[in-house]
Amino acid sequence: MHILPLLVSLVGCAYEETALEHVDIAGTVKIPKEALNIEVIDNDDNVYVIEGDIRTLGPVYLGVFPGVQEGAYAYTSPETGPVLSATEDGDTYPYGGTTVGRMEFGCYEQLVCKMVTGRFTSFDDVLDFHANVLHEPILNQQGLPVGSAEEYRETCYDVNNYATDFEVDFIKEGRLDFKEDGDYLVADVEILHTYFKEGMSIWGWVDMPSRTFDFSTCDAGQGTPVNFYDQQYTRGANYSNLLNQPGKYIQGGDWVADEIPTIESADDKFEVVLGFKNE
Amino acid sequence: MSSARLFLLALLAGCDRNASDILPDYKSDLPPVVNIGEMGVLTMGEFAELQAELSPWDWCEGATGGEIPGLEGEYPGGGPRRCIYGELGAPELGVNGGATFNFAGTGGEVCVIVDPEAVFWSASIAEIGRKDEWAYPDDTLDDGDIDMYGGLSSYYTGSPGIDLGDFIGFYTDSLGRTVEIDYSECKMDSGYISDVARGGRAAVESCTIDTTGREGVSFTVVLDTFSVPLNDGVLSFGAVVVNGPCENVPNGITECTLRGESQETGGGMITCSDRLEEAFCAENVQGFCCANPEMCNEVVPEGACEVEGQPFDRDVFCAENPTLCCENE
Repeated sequence: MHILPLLVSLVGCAYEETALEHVDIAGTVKIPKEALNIEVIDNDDNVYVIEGDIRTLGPVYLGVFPGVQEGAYAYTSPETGPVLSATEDGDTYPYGGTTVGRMEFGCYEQLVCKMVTGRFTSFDDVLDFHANVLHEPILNQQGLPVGSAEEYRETCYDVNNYATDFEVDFIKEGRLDFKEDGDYLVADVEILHTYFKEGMSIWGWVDMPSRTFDFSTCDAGQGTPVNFYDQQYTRGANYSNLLNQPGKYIQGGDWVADEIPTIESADDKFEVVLGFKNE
Repeated sequence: MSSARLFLLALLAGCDRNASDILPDYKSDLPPVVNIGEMGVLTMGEFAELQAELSPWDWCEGATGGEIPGLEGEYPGGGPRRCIYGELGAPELGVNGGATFNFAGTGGEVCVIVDPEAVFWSASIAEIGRKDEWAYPDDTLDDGDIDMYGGLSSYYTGSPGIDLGDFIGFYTDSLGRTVEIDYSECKMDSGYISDVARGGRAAVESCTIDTTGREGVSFTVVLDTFSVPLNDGVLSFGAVVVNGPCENVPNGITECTLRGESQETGGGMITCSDRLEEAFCAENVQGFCCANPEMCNEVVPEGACEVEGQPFDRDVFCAENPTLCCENE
């Protein structure tokens, strides 16, 4: 008689995990190096042309969709469900998705929505980029240029309660997302736990910075609040419906997938090429 | 007795309760599912007229200026009814109750408002740091709640007046995967979290529905009975549709936007309930309840009428707030 509860509890072990409709898939994403040629403008309206600097590369958004369509935009875009509003696109109802590089708080208010992970190797690298490439040195709480990597590190540790560089997501020495491969930048990518249907498509885009080095996929009004002495602002965060309504966020200068693979098996390796520049 | 049998018996102890004690004993003769029919869309001017009315429930029985094909002559003046002050009975166990009404899209934004029963508040019971304003306890037995949904009538799954439905539909993508879609276009903003929210017990609910490009198209609003007052088994409410977004409603949408919705069984405002709403909006509930305990809770907890340790003086209060004392006309 005592064995009955044990037998009942063992019923849970009959679950077969292979019945899950979700899988992990892997592949690569390629972006033409030409995407790295951009123009920026500083606070004094000086225009600078930047060529081939991988640190300008914005976050890459990849989604898994039932299919793609032509004609809704200048670029190929995911198919959508019914349009429920006169002012908004229909929802794409994505199966899954991921990013290659993501928006991250750069420890100073000036860097809200201007920092992408997987692009910088060190604090010095970030300081150099802003001072010598964007010509907009990072300013500290007092409005003075951040003078050293040590000062930058100390502020990051203070504001975020960090104890080691390992916790600073936007500094990944030797672990940058993209590598150069001929005329392309190439990154390995995994899309975890995506719903699977034979024939599903992998589509995406890279959000390239505007002339003021802002990213349209980041909302400066969202994110965790910073209340640090006299500083009060939010850290910025991605919009939550980027893959559901990508057309709202893809702007001029962004590069969009034009070679869109379909997946027949979870073991298929995909290669997405973001080869179309949206003007 | 073996330990295994004892364990099984212990599990069964939870089955001796069916929660019927939290349902109203009193069953009114009022129907639990009601179809109100066609409702007009008031202009902001008409809405101001309604708010100034001493008998808003009578005013609602009139017709709006607009006419709807097939409904000519339905109400004096030819158009659909202006608004509704209605009542719902308690539904049977396991059945959704509520009311539905339709309105025609104006081609722009409209604001839908429903206000069930009078007001509810949580009593402040802290020994230290008590909020005197909310120290007097609400009578929780006279509160009810309605949740509002709305969208295109073509997506509505219910049978008006027979059973309540929803706006859930299904979309099948090109690979055959079916996705559930909520076609409801009445998204509530609670002020605390964005998008979908609910007003809570006896609280007013409102939402803006954008009918752009759908002028003349029929929309359905569902007033879903969430809870029925335990004291009489009748859930009374007021509802109205106003032309324009809800943020354009003067003074915002509060418990005082629609007044007098708390009604006696069979109709007629519960005497002085409009003054309770006025006191609630003026954040003078403690004074009102202490002056008119029959409107809040006959049993006055010790100290509930004290303000900063001083006893409550009804005469002084009524002299200072004549509209908040029930016997004053």
